[in-house]
Amino acid sequence: MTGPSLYVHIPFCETKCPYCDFNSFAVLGRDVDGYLDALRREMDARGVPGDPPTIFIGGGTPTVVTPEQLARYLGDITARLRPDPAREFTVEANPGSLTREKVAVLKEHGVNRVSLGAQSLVDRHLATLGRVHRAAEVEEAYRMVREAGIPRVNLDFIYGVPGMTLAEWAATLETAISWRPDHLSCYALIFEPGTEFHARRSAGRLNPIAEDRELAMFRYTERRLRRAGILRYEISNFARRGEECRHNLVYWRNGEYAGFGAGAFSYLQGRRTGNERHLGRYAEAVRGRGDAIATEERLEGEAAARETIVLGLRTSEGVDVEAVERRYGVDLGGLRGTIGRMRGLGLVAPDGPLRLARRGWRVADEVAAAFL
Amino acid sequence: MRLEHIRNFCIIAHVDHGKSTLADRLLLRTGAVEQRVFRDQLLDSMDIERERGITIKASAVRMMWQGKQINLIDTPGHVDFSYEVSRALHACEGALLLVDASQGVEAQTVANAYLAIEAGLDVIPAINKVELPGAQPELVIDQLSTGLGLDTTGILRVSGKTGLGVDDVLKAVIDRVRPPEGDPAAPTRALIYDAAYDDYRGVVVYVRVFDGTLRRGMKVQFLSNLSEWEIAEVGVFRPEMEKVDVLSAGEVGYFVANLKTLEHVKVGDTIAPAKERDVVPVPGFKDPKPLVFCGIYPASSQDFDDLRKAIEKLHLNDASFTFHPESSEALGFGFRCGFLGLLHMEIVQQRLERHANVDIIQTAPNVTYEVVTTDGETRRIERPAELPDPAHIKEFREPIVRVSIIAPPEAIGPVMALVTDRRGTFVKQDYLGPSRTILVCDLPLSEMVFDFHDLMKSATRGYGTMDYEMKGFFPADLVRLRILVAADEVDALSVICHREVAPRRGREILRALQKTIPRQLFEIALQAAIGGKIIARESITALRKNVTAKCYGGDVTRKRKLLEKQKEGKKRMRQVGGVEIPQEAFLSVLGSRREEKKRK
Repeated sequence: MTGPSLYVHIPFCETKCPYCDFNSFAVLGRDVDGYLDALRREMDARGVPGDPPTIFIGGGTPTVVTPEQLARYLGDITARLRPDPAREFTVEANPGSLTREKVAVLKEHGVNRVSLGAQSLVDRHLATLGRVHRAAEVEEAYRMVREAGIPRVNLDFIYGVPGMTLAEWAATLETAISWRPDHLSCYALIFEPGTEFHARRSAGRLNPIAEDRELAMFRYTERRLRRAGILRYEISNFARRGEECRHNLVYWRNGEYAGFGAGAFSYLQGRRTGNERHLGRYAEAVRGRGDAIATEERLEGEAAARETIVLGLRTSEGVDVEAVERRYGVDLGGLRGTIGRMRGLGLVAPDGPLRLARRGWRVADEVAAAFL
Repeated sequence: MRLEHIRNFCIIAHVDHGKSTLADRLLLRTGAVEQRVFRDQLLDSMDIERERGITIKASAVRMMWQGKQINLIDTPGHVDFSYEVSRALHACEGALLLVDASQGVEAQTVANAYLAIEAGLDVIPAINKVELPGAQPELVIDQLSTGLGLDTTGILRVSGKTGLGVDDVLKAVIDRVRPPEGDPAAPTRALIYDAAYDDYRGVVVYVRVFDGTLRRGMKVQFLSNLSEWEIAEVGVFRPEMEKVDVLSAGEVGYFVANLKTLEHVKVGDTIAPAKERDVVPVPGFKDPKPLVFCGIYPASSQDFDDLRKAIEKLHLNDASFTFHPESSEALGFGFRCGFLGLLHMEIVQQRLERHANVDIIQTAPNVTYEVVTTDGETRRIERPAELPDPAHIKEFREPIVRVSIIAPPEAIGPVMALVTDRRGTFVKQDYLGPSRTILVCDLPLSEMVFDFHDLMKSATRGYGTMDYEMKGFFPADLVRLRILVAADEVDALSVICHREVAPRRGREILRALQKTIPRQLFEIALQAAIGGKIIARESITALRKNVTAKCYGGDVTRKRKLLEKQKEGKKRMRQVGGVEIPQEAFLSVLGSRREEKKRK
């Protein structure tokens, strides 16, 4: 892999889900075309990497827009790239928002991977999560993508939803497995600050499920998917061998990426920048100065090395500490004690690269914090 | 000023009987402060005092009234601060004994009144808060005359709140307190009754001049160490510090010399002219006897020096606590400090944190014990780690205090039950009028020190008050209760207690630890043991789950910061045998930690 990956953010959704803390807005009444203008302007001004190893269009719901708008921004992106059919090109989609026509547009523009926000296959849980689609629509969308000949499909699920039982979660997994997907993302529900769920929990109007039940789901997921040949390669991500999301691996390997759009992040030459999240301010900034950078962080030397370890620990491949030392030109000998302690507790693998052992996954944050 | 025009007096009272409010009234009335700069409880210069509404540090104010110079020395009312009271008493000739008209005589009214009588002061009884609907002045008069044997003719009736009777107080001070004696022409003799540290002026020494004068430029010596200093400034409190030309016999004020270090200034010491060898020291007061001890450690070890400086500075201002360096396996280097009581301990701790800007870890308080070894040596034991091997202990003694509790007669039953439960013994019971009974009993200090006051308060529905004095050390069946965390003894958590209560105390401590030590990556065994015998055990289950489900490009910075915060929290914990123990755990050993509110 050479050069930075490419990320483009489409910040629109049909409705805002109550657990979601991503930069997204209900699409109704929004000036989508105006946003796409600004996006194009930002790509022009900053320059898009011409041969990114991976592309990821995220949101929001990138497919919530009209087929014309979809074709327009996909065209804007692909026009700036050297064509390469082997390049991983992912677009996020929601089951309810997908039509045959839109799938055809994706296919036409070389999209070879669709990540479907299924979230659950139980209508009751979909309702709790504030999702607008029904379980039946998930399968429909999945088939539609498959039939269109888009070769790779991921399904996103959320477990640990208030009121969810282990049996319900297991049933959801069974159904998903029966569709023979090549990739599954299974996230424990997070009550992110600033979300409606967070406020409802604080007010005592939403009860999180018991920690033990969530832990049982966490463990069950890995065991069941492994039997189906879908292996964990990151805390919440599972794939058949070779079907891992290469774009997300760039993040966890602390690789470079250029992000475009409102609230998008870039990590280029050791500098991590974040764009304006607000649509109006984003467009205005792009019009004024070409970029819309609102936050910036630069980590160097040991801090960058430690961050790389923390990110790498999320993956099953782990992180080669010596390679990290070479990459940042630092001596991480000071971590030896921590590594020894974590090995002693059986939380990281006894040898080889630094990676979580079977018992380490459920307390991954504790392990990671020790390396910061 | 000529001696016959000077009056030095203090106000003594049970806590909350309105002493500070009356003091404020006097300052206003005499014009010592103007209405516009007036704040409630002006004399209480420390924030903590104002927050708690109690007076901790004695401070002095000069007022002028009808051609007389009246020096008021404010005193603390709480039982923990009787040492400060006695310091103030030595600088005065008279005391206004203030009693709340509805509460009546309480334990510290009695204790303070006796202190004042013993110090030879002219005592003027006064009934305060007479404006309250529940006021029963006749009952108070009866308690004062029959209970305390005071002459109540011409008793003052005042209200600090409304200002009623304030002029009578000033008149009584002038008429009934004798003027100071002393010879302004004799060689200088002055008593250091307090000191404070000022960032700009260095040490500010509070003095009462008995003979001669103190003035700027004068060379003086401290008799206890013969060090010599040139006086840079003398002044009085009005109530802010105000420079004057001279402080002469009978007067109260302060002086500043070039005192940058704290080592030479000793409260109770006498000041005399330099080179003068024939000065008879002013009788000082007894060294304070700390009754409660705890370890104070910096939360992070690099702050040790800052903590030491802060403690030294505070000690200058509060000579009643003691300190010396100690080290603990669990906590590193710190200090063992002795206090007059629990409230005193808390206040010192808060002052340290506030003024030193050092996070501190305080270990559970304990009392001093005495051990007679098999070689016949008697040793003071200030912490469990100092105990010799049990085989070398011939006799183990604990401190016993004589406690006087004043309560309504119908509450004596419940109080007696409490006393018995706390291994106490009955001494005597007296009547102090129809609604007040004094119960005297002996109680192990260790049983009194933690929550006895609270329990006594609730047993008497809030009407009971208490005071205590040290009686001595007496043999008891004591053991060292060892606390083990993950099989390692944590010295800072171990305690000395009576063998009978050890299992209960052990369980309490372990449960408290269970609540304060966060779950970690492995299960933690908690054990309480006497010698090698485990008498209680609990465990903290391993952390089950701590994993962030999502982390992508846009989240990296934020998620890393969350992890950093998590890690930062751990830095403030102490690592003992691989277990991270938060600061609260060291205090939680107290179990039912008394809330300061209740004590006021």
